[in-house]
Amino acid sequence: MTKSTTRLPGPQPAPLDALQAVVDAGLAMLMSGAEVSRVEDTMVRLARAYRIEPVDVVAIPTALFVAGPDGRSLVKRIRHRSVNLAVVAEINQLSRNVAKNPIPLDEFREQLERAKHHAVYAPWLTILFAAGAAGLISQLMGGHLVDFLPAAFSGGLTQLTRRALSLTRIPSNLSDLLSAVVATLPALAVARFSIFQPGSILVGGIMVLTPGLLFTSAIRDGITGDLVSAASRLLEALLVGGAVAAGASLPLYFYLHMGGRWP
Amino acid sequence: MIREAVFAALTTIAFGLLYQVRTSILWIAGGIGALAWMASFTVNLMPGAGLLGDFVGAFVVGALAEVAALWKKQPVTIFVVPAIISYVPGYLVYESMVAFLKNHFNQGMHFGMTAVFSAASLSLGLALATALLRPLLRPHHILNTDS
Repeated sequence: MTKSTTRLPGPQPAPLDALQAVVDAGLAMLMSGAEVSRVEDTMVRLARAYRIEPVDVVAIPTALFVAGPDGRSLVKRIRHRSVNLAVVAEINQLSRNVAKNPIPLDEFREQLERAKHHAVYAPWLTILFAAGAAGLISQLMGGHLVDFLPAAFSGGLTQLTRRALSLTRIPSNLSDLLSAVVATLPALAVARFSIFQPGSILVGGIMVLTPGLLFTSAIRDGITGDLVSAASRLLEALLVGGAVAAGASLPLYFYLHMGGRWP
Repeated sequence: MIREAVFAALTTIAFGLLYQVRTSILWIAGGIGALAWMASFTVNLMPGAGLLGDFVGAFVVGALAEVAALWKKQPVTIFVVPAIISYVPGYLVYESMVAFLKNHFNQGMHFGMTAVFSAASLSLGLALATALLRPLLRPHHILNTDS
């Protein structure tokens, strides 16, 4: 009996190895905030490229279940979630390339590892971008040109705090709350001068913490019918929003209590 | 209007940079942000427009993002997330927060509920855009089996 030939170049990998690599790709996408249907599609596409069929994938924001051929299955628990559109785009591209032209598994793993840590811009640059984003959005939120600098300062400070806290073991909701506390400080510092609009400055700073991807993914999951994911992402977005609002009101409360000026 | 649209485009680009979107496709996201802002600005000129402006803005963002995603072969979220930020009712949430802190309960509820409805109209706009355009743009795919 001859074994069936395969179109894959190089030696045929053990199926579980390939399945593991596919799961790794899906896991990285899910942890970066991709929609569930995209994760499932990407994994099925990759599995087909590596001749793992039939395969069935169930993804929810906190877990990933994969049933491979001959009863093998993998279950992964997801504890850490973050926002990184670059990783989503990169693995999406990788899966398209692999589907068109299957590369050896080792090479795929290497590229996947690179894609997982893909960051287009350096960490210190994101602080600068956050500053620019906060300054600009304060202009859309009723701010005048003088509010640009304090808002930019607030945005940069917020991003710096969030990045610093993400390196510690502090839970992400608490770190959002603390970042929002920091975001209010520049607005409070300039509130006594009547030429500034402290409201616009404050909103500019905390907009950096907006859970925009969570919200968008929740809606898109809802349309495709991934209801568990849609509901849990909406809840997560609400929790983040609540933490940010709570963090921002705390210093403001003390400030108003001490009789500070606030328009 | 032009000034605001330029700020909307720049805001979109800045948030895109913050979310690690590649520079080569960022200008498209910026254009989407500016066009959507102009659309919602025009709608808001109508008396009694209310939250219709938010809905139209989100719809334009969602629709153009679907087209751009198909064109550039990128995930739709890359275009939606930076462009939708300008519509997030951050200022309403802030006003409600301040009203509550100043013990103006009714005012706080008013702003808070407006923010919730504004968020709802945003999601409705995005959802409708995707649900309507997806089958038109990608007729060979079922809704959840594409890139």
